[in-house]
Amino acid sequence: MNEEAINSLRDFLDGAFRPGETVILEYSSEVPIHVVFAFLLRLSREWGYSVVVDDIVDALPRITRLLEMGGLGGQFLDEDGIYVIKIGGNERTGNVVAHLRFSSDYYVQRAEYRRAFDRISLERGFVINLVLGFDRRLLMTDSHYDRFLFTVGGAPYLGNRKRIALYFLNRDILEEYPAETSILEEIATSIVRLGWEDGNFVVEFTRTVKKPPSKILRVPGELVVEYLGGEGVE
Amino acid sequence: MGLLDALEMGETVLILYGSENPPYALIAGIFEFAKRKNFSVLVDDILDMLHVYLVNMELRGFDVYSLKNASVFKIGGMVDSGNVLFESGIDEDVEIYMSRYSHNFLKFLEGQSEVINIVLGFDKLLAYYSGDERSQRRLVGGISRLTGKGRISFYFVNSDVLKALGKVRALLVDSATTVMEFGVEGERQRLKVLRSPKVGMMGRGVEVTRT
Repeated sequence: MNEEAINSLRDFLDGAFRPGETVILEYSSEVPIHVVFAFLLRLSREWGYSVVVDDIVDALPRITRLLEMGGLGGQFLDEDGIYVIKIGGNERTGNVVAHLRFSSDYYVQRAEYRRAFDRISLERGFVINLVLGFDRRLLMTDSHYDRFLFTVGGAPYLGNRKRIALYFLNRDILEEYPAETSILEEIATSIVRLGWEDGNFVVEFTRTVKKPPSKILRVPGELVVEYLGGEGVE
Repeated sequence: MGLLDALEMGETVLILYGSENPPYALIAGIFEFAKRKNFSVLVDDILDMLHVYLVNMELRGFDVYSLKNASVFKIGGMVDSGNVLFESGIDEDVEIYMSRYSHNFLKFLEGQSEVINIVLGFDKLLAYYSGDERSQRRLVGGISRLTGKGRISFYFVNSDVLKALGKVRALLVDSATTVMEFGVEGERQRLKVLRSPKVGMMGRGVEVTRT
């Protein structure tokens, strides 16, 4: 019964998102998101995709630290085919191919980012783009106008078949910005919401193109950790 | 769709919806309605929302041919969708581009008998001016000036974005002649009339299905 949940999830994820999609993964603070990140990274690599991680203001080192502390090791990023574009921050983890200065100016940041991303895209073709820390970016952008531009800034990339983008958004951080959150959700092609209850990931397929196994799927945390080859949950 | 047939020429219809359930089927339905009645369609594409809807609708298997080839007035944004007849940035003062927009809009109306106007992203434009109530009021005021002219305008507004808009929210709702809500009830998508000039229409709902 338990095994079914993780298999259901894998089956759903296989072909769930099409090239050109922008997927929002919303989670609340109690969710062990580092496990989710490692899981999606592992699956992407298993399926032969190159991965580009947007590491905004050291969001990635935070995750790898949690993975190490959680007995899951930090080897996830050491493979070929995983690239990191760092935006701001100080701690370099993984294969950092570009380290951009954090800019609150939307146009400046976009131009620099595009250059870095296109370079990888040219080399590797299709990539899975895991975006970490976008929620913090909004928090750190004081100018309302720039924050708004970043919010709608993802829209032109929709339909870009060279990637599927997955934004990790902490709902509690974004509580401050309900309008921006709603706009991000509307622009996205799929929304998946994550909760955590009694040792289970509670996965809600809020809006997806592919029909999910059920609207809500509970996946035991231990199973995911096992799949990742971890030491198990105490 | 019976609810659309009850609309009068000149109306400004506000369609409220949530991010979890964007009104793809309704937009497709309005295009069919326009085709049936032989009305022209003009899409106001604000901040690339037409592109967002095209991608989402295509992904979900909708026939987007009419949408892709619609006449478009583009305001802000970077991606051209449809047949762009008029384009304006949003960098200047609201009054400036609004008067250009109105001028061109009225000219477009002159050349047509009856027009269905689909407005995507107006709520985002208001959100852009968050804190600048004067500009927000001007934008909403502009709607009233076009109400009564030879078009039925559908303003698609995300309720969650609307909620965060503060004072101008009531002004916007007040400017509409008809207010409808697009939502989900169980497995079905429904369109419900919240307010209408025709009292008998109020509270009426219809299921919106894909053809």
